[in-house]
Amino acid sequence: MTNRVTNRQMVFIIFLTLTTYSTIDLPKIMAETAGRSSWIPIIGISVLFGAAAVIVTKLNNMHQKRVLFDYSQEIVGRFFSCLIALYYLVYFLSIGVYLILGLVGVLQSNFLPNTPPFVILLFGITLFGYVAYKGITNVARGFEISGISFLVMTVFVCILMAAGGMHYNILPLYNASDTKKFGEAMMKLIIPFGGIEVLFVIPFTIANKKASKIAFFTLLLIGIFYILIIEGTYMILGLNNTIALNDAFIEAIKVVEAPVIERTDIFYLVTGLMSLFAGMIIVFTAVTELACKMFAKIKRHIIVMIIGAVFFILCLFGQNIKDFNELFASYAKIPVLVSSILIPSALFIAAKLKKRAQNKQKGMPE
Amino acid sequence: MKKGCLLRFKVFLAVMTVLQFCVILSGCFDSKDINEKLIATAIAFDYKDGEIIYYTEFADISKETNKGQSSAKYNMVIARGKTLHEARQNLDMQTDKPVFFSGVRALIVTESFANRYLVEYLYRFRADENYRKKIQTVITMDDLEKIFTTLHEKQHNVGFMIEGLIESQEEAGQYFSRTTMRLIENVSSRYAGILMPCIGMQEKELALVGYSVVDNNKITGFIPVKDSNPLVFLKADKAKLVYTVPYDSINFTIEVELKKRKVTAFYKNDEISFNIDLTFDAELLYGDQKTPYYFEDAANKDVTKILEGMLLNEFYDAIVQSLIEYKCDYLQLDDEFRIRYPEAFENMDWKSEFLKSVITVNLSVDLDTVYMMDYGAVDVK
Repeated sequence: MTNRVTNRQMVFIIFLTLTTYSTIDLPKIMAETAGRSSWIPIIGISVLFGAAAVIVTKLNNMHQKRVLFDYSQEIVGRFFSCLIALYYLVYFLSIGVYLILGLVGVLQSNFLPNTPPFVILLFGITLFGYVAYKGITNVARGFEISGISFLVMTVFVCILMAAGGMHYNILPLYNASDTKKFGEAMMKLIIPFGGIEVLFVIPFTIANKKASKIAFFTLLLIGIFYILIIEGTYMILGLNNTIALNDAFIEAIKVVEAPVIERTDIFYLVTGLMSLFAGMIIVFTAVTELACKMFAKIKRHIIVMIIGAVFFILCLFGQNIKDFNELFASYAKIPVLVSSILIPSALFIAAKLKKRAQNKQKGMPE
Repeated sequence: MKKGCLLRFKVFLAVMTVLQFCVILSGCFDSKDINEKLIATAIAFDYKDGEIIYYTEFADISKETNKGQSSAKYNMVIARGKTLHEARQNLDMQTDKPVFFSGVRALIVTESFANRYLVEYLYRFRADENYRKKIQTVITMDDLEKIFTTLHEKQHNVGFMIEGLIESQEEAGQYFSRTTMRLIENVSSRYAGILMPCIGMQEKELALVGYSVVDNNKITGFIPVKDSNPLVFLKADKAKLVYTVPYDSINFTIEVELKKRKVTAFYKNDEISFNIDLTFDAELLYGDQKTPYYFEDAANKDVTKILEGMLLNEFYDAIVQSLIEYKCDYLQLDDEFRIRYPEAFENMDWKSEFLKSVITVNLSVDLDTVYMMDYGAVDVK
């Protein structure tokens, strides 16, 4: 099977990976910090991560048909390449635990209040493992379908919110006193914008020539998507309610009046969950792809089973840690920045310098 | 594909299908038929003699008539307690089936309850996953038991009735309400001056009787429907009300519809002022005397002037009532001020600053006769 994705599939991979859990708790996070001026730090950080996406896609395009583990050996040598791969493996594993526990929380509070969490974990991990086993190309095809329905449904709900909400809840759009909290807001936005590093496990081909430009605009669109969600939630709930509710977006949907549909939240959650599943699937796939490269001699299905077991054990541990998600969110910012900005930038600069040195050696113009 | 490989693939598919069914059906193992639950349609609270009285209205859908057709029947259960939790616990002790709160249409509270427990109960409501979040919250000055028993005798459901009353009146542009989530947002803010719908019994029928003034989470006053026209014009989305204008020995009935509303806040030299600009479209519906009315340009101008004067008087009365009688910004001009001067608003005590504000109302009415009628100088045969 050839691992490749089209640019459209890449858009939905980025979109679903980034929006995984953020849609649910982002309004609360932003209400606490930048308040009604939240759209400004969101635009700022989406431009920053858009630039990081450009670097990742450029790196992939410089080394077509190969993934990070392959071409990083060429750039920084085998030892550092293994270190980077190991770092990403651990990183994706911890992100996976965070996402699975988030998913279990949402499923338990909204759909399966009496189901023991370990049962949801077991079924979830089996499902994600099976999809990850199928490889990135199949995952990308699935994302194309679920991404569209998730996007359409969320935008539809946001339009309903804007129509039924109170405009003065979002006004004024800029309050000078919020400015001093923009830094804190941007720091809190790092996790919702983290995820572009999954592109490192996708081998690019000639069909991905325009990927950099598309990835940049995808990040900008994700920023606008987040703004829609936040403003819609504020309009329905108001700022104080949003701060008080951990899953403010879902609570806001419960209040939205939609034609014909009485329980708008259940209607939305059916597609909203797709995003949570998708995020977990891509993380599981990323871990699998990395592990398969690192341990090339072990069969793929064995690797998938081992990863599944590791996820299950880590999640059981995670469940016993009080306020795991809050703890994770407070410590994960630096690893996210390292994975999506620092390592790609360092590799990109090293690759460019190496290319320049090689060209110089051959006496070719730079 | 090799035969062994194909077989293994089929076995794998079968296992996956079984697993998938397990996942899908896992949500059904503890499911309960709707008949095995008590569907709450309204909840109400009173506070008397140091005790909370918790009324819950249930729709009993399991009752059937002789012909086998289902007929709606409503029951009420009363529970008491020193605290909200205790009252709820006592309610649970009296119900033979689990209570289903996702069907609640209205929350009714008496003034005495609201003065003590409004915030606590609203926060309890917000934190409870089982409640339907789109419910209407209303105040009443009447006896709750009387409301429930009178309406149940007529086979009327109180919860649905309140929801229907508010929705139909809002649609007609004669009333305005607040969603419960918006109410919670208001009571959670630093300043909370709001109006809440008030219901009561009129001739053995449930009716919207006016608005209760909520100042800092306490009920401090009541504005009856007859005095609430300016409030409707200021707060409702599509306000449309009817006026009787006396002119030249004829009482004209005129429908007045709000066309445009603009509230502008000003803050100069520490002085707060508001300009409320309103534009109305009015239609002369009929008069109380025989036609012809000779309602031409001159008469139109005069009647418009009288109508504008009536409206202005009403607005000034409403503003005076808010500023002087109740000393509370239930007109919610704080939102307009906050939007324009967010930093100044954050640093001031709005309750006291509002009382010093100057409010100016400018209004204009565009009057015409209703399209299908000619009230001009026509000959009578």
